[in-house]
Amino acid sequence: MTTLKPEVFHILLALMDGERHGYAIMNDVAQRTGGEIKLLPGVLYRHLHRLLDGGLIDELDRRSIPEGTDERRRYYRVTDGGVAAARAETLRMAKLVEVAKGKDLLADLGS
Amino acid sequence: MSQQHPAAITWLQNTYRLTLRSFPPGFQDRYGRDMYEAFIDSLRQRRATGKSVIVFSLLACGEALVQGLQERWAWREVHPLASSRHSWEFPAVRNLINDVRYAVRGLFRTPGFAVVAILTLALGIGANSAIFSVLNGVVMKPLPYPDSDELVMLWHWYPEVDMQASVSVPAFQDYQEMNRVFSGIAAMGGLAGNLTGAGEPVRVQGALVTADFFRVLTVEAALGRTFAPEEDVAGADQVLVLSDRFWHRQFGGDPGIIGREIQFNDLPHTVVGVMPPDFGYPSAAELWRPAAFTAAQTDPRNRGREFLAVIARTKPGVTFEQAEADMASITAILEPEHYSWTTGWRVSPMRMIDNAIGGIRPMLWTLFAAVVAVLLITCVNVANLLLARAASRDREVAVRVALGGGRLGAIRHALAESIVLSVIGGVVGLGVASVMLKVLVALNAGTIPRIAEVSMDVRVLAFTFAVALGTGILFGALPALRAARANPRDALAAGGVKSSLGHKSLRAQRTLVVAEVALALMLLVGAGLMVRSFDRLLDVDPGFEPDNVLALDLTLSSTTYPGTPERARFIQRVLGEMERQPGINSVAAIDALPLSGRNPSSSFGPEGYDYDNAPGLPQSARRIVSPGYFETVGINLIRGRDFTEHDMAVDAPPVIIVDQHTVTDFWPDDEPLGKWIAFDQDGPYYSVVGVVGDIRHQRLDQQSRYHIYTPLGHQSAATMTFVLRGRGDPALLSAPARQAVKAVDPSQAVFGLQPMTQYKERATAPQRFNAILLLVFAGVALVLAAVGVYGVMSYAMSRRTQEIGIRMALGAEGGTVLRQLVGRGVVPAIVGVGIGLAGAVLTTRFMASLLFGVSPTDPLIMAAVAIVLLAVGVAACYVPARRATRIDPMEALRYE
Repeated sequence: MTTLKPEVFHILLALMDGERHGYAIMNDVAQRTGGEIKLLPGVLYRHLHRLLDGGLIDELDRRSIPEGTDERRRYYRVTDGGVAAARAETLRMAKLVEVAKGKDLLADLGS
Repeated sequence: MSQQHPAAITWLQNTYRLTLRSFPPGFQDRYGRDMYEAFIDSLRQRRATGKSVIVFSLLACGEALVQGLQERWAWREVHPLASSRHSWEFPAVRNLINDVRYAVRGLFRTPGFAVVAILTLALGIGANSAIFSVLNGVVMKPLPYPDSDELVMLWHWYPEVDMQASVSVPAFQDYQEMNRVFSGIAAMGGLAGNLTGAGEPVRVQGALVTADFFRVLTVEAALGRTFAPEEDVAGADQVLVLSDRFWHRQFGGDPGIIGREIQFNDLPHTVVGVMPPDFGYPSAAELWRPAAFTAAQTDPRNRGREFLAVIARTKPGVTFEQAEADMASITAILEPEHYSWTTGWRVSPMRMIDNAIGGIRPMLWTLFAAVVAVLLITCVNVANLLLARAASRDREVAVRVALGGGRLGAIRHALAESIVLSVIGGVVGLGVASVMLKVLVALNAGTIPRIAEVSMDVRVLAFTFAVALGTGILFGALPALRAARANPRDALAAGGVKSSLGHKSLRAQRTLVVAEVALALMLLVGAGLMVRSFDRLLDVDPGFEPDNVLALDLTLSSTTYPGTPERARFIQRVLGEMERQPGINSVAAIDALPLSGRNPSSSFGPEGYDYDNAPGLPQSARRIVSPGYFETVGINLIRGRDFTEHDMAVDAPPVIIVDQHTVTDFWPDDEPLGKWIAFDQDGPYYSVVGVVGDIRHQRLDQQSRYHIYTPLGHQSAATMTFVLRGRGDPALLSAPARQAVKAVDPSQAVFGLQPMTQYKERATAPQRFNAILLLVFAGVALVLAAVGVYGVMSYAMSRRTQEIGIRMALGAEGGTVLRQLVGRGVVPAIVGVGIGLAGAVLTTRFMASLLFGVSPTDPLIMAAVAIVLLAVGVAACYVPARRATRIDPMEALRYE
């Protein structure tokens, strides 16, 4: 199983809550990670392009963009395939965390 | 706050938009706009929260560039999702990408260094791109006509008076018949007139052209048509072709204009065509009318009336040299028949492009040399920065080499870093260039022909990229070589700081200082020469006093004022009306004001002239003036008297006023008053009643021809310039002046309203333009050189802190140490000044044609510039040296 790059995983996470345009994804990721992962447009759109190619996300039809939003931009939403990929990645990480827990690595974090 | 400045923001946005071009076109189409929007939103957010916009923008530009190039590479293979790592099949490419990544990461780690280096480079590269754009648009680009290299202009050359002249109608017709090399030959004459009947009367500039003028240039009308041959005949010639600009300005771009009748010079004319927006020849023309030569013009006896510019197109396959040879054979036929009165006359063909831009080349190349020097200094500075940085990274490099990175790898890393810097610098430099270009165009004030055609096209982009790459390699070479010599054992053992490499690097840096001081000196000398010659030019006494004088032009319609008596009457009435207006001390009229660019002339025969032994008749600038002209514009009356009202009467005895130059050359020992001058063999004989001071008419830096003034009334011109002298600001006189003209004839258009000082300003505009630009570039060079010397000295001091501390601790006098340090530090600057002086002596001669009243090796300027640079060098050494001697000895000893 291929692992997802952290940036890609974060992009998918950002789209879980609903459709978003590029800048909104950038902001969402920056906020969620406390600025640790900062996507600049160049990298972001390269990932979006690959996610689109792989069918993990798709682009909203212009007509179905909700009223009153910024319709000049392209909006993206996650596909079933994308949800599956994110889920797989989450599972992989969860397993990893389980292993780590077994080694007592989380003990002093109070969980 | 400077980073909130809207112009800076726009510029950053444009730069970002440019960097997005690094992505593959398909990618750009799909995401480019959103990426740009995302960038703008981020900028907006940062501004709202008060964070730095500039650093962020530069980072984003760099990121876009790197990502774009990677994407471009990946785009070659369709490879979905997964990680992009599989797409690098070639190790070389992979290495390259890795090096670039490593370099970019390194720059991100030291953003201060990166920003300083990138901005310095952007300045140097941008200046080059801007001047190259001008060179490209003005000198290198062909004229905007199909096969424009076939276009040739024909002039008459009179070597005796060193004059290039226009062509007369009979001569033009001879060339049409006799030539074997041209597929078409057309002529063009000046045309000015008034457009009436639609609101305020408007004064219009145009050109009279023969019917095949547009065919020779090979341009079609955008709307309607150009002239038909049958319209190029007197009587059928009341047709006009309009320029696009004029069509828009005057008729709001109404497409119904074709076929409409408009009043031009009080005659109905039909508009038959509108030219495309990019057509402008001659550049000031707002409309064109058929030349339709009259019988008087074609009369062979009127061969002396030379007023046509002749444009020809060579037949396919005929070279310019062949055309020259053909015109030489025509010269051989015509010369003995018609031009034997002067020696050496010939038809002189000139490539049309040379005709358009001939005089401007030396100036543009000088400017280009200046910006190249600035760029070289920039390179030196960035190389210095890199060297200093590399010194602190010796250990890192050594470790990499030791771990098997290889020397080649080390060189690659160093070069990758410098190239990444210079390419980003180049991208930002494009933004700098576009701003500079706007400033240049604004400053230019009609100095550079074809400036409207200057733009940043593909060639400029390619040039910029090449310069950026070359720059990167140039300033990266030293640090790269240094990296190659890295010796793991030394570097690691010596703790990095005191390795032998450090000394070598310092030597390299000192050499760089020598180079940059020498370059800056040459540039400063060039700028100094330009400023001095501009100053000299302003000091020239033009022979008149333009202050407090207002000038305005009137073109009299040939239907309302057909002859000299009517014109003279009208002009006198206007003058009388003007005199009555408040605030006006004196008024007068003349047909061609000094420095106005107009210069009608005719040959003349002064009394006692030795016709038998002279090659031909002397040429004079012949002026038509009203009484009071000399007083109004402040020309000195040396002897005799001014014209009076009485002299203007047609039946008054013909009188004339000459300038001192005429007297000195023709009647050096005689009383000039009472001498006569004739313009025609049959008379009349004008007797001299006054002598006035010489003036500079064509250019401030050139003596004028003999000036001979005749009173208005005996002669007249269709376009006259009125001059009004008041007490204060001449602009205040324009309302009363207009009022006076309106009172006499409400339909008369007034134009060219301006203080007379503006003529002088225009005459000095090219020199001012040169001086300002060179001064700016030299200033930049001086600052960069100062920064360079300072940087090297600071670095050298920081390495010697310990030593200095020991000496101080052992009781060395602070002042003595300081003197020694500065004395040593300033040595490279002294060497640089010496080399620079030698270089300046060798190179400034190439700008001799741009100078006036100053020698290219003016010792005063050389000395002054040398002193300035030495002073800057001493100051740049003094500051870090003083800091070093101020340090507490104990602290210095602990310093590592």
